[in-house]
Amino acid sequence: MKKSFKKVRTKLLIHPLFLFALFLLFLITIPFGAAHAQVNVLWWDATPTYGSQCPDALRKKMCDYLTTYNAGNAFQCTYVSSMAQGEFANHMQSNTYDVIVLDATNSTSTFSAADRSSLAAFYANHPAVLLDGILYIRSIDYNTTTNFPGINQSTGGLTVNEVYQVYAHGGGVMIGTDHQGHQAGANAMLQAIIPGASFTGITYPSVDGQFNGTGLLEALATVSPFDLFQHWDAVPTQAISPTGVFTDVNGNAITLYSQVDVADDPGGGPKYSYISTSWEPSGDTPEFDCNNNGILDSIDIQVGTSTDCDGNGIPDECDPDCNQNGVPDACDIADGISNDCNLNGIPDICDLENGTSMDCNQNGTPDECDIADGTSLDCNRNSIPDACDIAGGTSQDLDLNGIPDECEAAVCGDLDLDGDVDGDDRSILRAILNTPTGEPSFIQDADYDADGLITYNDYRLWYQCYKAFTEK
Amino acid sequence: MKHTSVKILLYILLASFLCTLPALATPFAYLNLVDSGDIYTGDNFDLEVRVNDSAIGEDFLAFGFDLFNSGNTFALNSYVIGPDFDDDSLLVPMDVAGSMFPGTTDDSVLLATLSFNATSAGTETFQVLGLADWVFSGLAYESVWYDINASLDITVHQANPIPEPATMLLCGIGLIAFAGALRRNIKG
Repeated sequence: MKKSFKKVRTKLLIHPLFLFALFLLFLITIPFGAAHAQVNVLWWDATPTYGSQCPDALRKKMCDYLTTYNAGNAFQCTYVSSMAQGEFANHMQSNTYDVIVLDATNSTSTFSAADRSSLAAFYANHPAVLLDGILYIRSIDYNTTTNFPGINQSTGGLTVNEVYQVYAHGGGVMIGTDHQGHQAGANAMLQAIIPGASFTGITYPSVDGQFNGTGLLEALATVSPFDLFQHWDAVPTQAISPTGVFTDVNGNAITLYSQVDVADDPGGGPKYSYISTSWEPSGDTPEFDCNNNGILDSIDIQVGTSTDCDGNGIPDECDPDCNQNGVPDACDIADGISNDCNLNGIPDICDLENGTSMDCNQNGTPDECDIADGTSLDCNRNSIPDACDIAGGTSQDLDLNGIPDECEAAVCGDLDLDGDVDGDDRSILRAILNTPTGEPSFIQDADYDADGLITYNDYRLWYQCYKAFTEK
Repeated sequence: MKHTSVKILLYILLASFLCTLPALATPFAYLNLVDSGDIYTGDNFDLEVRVNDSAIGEDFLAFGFDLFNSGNTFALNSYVIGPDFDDDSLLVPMDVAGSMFPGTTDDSVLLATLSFNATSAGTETFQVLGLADWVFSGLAYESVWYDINASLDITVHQANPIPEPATMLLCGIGLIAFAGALRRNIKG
């Protein structure tokens, strides 16, 4: 009896129906396995609502975007909004995650010593770090470019790629914040894991930027860097993410690399890191064959098939050459063959030909350079030399002294030079609050107390001009 | 007669001086707990930052202050700037800052409403501080600045206190004893 049971059991095991059932079971477990491949993310929102500009709903939108990305197969994001000290530590005691996003744009840290210790404990097992100095403006009610997920889903895609890259490098922490004065919480947590590192400063983003690798542009979602630069260019200020060599809380050396660098408005100057990571960006940079000769660009340059006079890693024949002299514009400018007085990376002659710059007095120099070097005056600040304003009829010069009449009749408080003092002028002043002299957006005429900084005191003095104008 | 006239004149002058006193008052900031009921752990509560005696004969334009609390009994969740102001907090290096255009001559002005979450029981002093620095801190009027310096002691009670077993036992014994005594009295 026992023997026959064994026989039946063996027969059953090799029965086709049994094998088919096994196959079905295997198929059923595939989605389960995929579900486990999801990146488990905690989105910790310690950013205040800042009036109507930044309600929790807009911060949560970024977390929800992760959860719903790729039909919900890529991430499982848990959103928590809390500014209570100790709550992060409490939460981490009973939850586990692959990646923690600290969304912390605040002027006073809301994290306690227990919170910082909790993050350090998490970091010990998940030592990848991504630091983002531009997270705050990604989803706020400020202008159309700050509506998440951004132009062509660019800021959504960037967020997806950021979190995925942290995960792909072993899981870890992403800390995001904004400009100086609102980095207290982010820095408190950053210093809990990398004591010497901190977000610093105020930058004035332009479209003049560069990604140093494509990991943040292509890891999961495809994002156009130009869309991101446009987004950053449309907001007033940002923070600089730390780069360099540090020692982390575990006593290990850690290098923070810049993933993207952006110059201040109007561009052309030094660039600052907006996003830095604990992994090198170069590893993510794909190889290109821009001249389609079947040889990778780097090999072209290495073996001498192509030259690279500006050392930008792109064969010269692929670089812009607006004057078509066979030499990249950058090298023309560097060698002094072409002038670039407005420092926009385009030879002046091309600026004038393609209309990027005007030359109303036809002296062969772009008008903005004439104005910048004092060759031409521009008293009404409309970027057109005064002489051209008068000649073209844009301005009157009734006393024929060569000075546009509107400049001679300057009205106290009339910052937009439209002849009156009103809310438009106040908006100009408000937009540059806390801007120091030397910054591109600083307006000398708005610094009424001449202390080199646009403050409420300047607003107070401007308001006196406004009252005088309205009473007149 | 002449002496009496001088006296009357002096009284009139004194009365006029006293009448002008309220107009010379200095604007001052204060904190107003929106719901005056007791606060328990887990509660959310709002605190208004207001300025009184603001009508000094010229327009009130802008303010800036920082937030300070002495312990961990409650934490700031968010704030909403006063309805007449533009929120400048992200533009200037103050915790909370706002400016308005045009200015106001109202005597009482709401600067901001701060929202907190009560986290643990205890009493804690909360302070808003913006000493007039003629830059961003303080109350800015057309020709003068004033300090913002207001504080409030806030007590957070433990939510739903549960009687300890020993307390309940003592209470029960007391009740039984009371019932016994009452019964003996009635019988007697």
